[in-house]
Amino acid sequence: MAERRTRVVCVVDDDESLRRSVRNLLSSVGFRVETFASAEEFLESTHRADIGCLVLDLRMAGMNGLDLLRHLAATGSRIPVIILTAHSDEEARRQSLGAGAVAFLGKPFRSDALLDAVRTALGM
Amino acid sequence: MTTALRNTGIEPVGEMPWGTHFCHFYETRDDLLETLLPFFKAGLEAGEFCAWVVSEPLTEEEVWQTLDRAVPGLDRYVSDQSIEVLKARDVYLAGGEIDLHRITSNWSAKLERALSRGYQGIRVSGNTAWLEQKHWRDFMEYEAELNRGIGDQPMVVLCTYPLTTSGATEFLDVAGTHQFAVAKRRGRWQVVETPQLTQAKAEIARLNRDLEQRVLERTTELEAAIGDQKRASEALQEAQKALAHVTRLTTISELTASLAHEVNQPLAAIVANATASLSWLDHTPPALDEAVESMQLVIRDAQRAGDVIAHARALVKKSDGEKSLVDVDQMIREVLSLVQPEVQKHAVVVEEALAEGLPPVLGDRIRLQQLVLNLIMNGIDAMAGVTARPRRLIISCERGQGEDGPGVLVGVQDAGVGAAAHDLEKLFDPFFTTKRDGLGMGLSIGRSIAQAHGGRLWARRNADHGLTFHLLLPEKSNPRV
Repeated sequence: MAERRTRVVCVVDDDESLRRSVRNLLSSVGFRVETFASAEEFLESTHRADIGCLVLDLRMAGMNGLDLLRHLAATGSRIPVIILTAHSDEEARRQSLGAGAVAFLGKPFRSDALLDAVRTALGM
Repeated sequence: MTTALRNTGIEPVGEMPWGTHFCHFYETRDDLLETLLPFFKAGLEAGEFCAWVVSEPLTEEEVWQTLDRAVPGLDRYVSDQSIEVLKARDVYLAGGEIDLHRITSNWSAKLERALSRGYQGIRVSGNTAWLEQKHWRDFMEYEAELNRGIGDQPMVVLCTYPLTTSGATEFLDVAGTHQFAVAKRRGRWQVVETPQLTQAKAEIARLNRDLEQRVLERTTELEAAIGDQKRASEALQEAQKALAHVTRLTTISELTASLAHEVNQPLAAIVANATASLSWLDHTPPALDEAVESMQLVIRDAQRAGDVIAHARALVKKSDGEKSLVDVDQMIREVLSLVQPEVQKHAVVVEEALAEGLPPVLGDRIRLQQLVLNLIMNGIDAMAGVTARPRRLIISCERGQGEDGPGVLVGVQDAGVGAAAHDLEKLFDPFFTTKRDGLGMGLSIGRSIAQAHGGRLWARRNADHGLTFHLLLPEKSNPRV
């Protein structure tokens, strides 16, 4: 059933179909979702107070996911970050969790695993 | 001097070597013609210069008429002066005497002229019916001189003597000054051979058998060698194909992680959209529009995953060597879509400068794709350690001009570590590699692929950094081919 939330789930992925599908999945269960095609684009909107959590791709042109994760940590951001990557090797997992990510999911991921991770990140 | 045997055209004599001097005793005018017409016909047809020296019972006119009937295409031989008919008295009795040196030097001059005009040699027949008793001794001296000197000359000489005026003494004189004698009496042949000739013939036959045996042995050896060479060449081609395939698989294995990424992206999207679709249907009332849109996205992403697999399969497929018309710019775009993840992974910026509407080339699509893939992967690898400047890879495709005509020129320009000028050609040597885990076959095979298409592959140093690889493929302007 639809889950009503006020806080926004932000999705940063440079793959259009992935962005759209994650937005669709999260919207279908009632989350508010905003998508961004790059880390840089996302950084322009971090001043918003209503960001609940961030679903972040690792490998992107320009600033990559790990760089953004470290940047957020360095700037004192408290936004929980869920990593969603097609390059889900141990090294990437270790680095991501070490840099403060709250969850690390490999693509393709189970839908309920992503939904659970988002709910957890939002403290539900 | 050619050693080939000469066909005398005379049935019982058959083929004889150059330097044959023999005589013919005839009974009637028809016996004479039946011998000399085939004799000269065979000479003309074998590319010999012919001289027919006539006396009674034949006239020059009769000789021309009978020749015309017996030799097809005589006009041609006459017009190119391959044959002449001479009066016996003009040849042998100029000045009223038989001058041995004059006659032999005349024949020598004729021979020399014939050879310089491209004839293989000369064929002569002289009739002796004009001979009077007072000239007999001188003439026999001439015959003996001819018989001694003819052995190493490209000449065949047949002297004809009337049986009616030849007594036993004359017969013995004549037989003694020729290598052998033939006679035709009332249509029947007789051959009188000297012992030397019999011996020489046996020797020739033995040499011929020897020669045939040696030819046979050599032919067998050559056939075996050719067979070996053919098998070796086939094995080499197979090995080259296998090696090309291994190199291709090596490149593909480098790409495997990227391929996994390329497939996993749409798979993840499919799972998310399919789940979303079910969720939309679970709403009250069901959100049908959203559910349908989700399923449409599922279909789109499934197709995308299928395309990635199809591209990858086309690339690992073994080439069957089949050639077809290939649009080079389209082919490059396909390869670029496949290496996109690799490009991203290495933070490479690809600039495409692909001209539209280029003529197609006739080629093996799979192998050309392999070649372009290798060039692009090389460019990406060459920039792996570059941090001080953008990792820019420029892929261009335009009209080019080869030595043999117009073509399509592909350029792959990197900003990598480059190579020393003296190493530029070494890049194309087999097993030359600067990569830690490279086979060093990519560029070597790439060049052989280019050459197999009648094209060229070469490298140039850029003015600032890195290398540009140029691939020139001749265009196939005729689409019917």
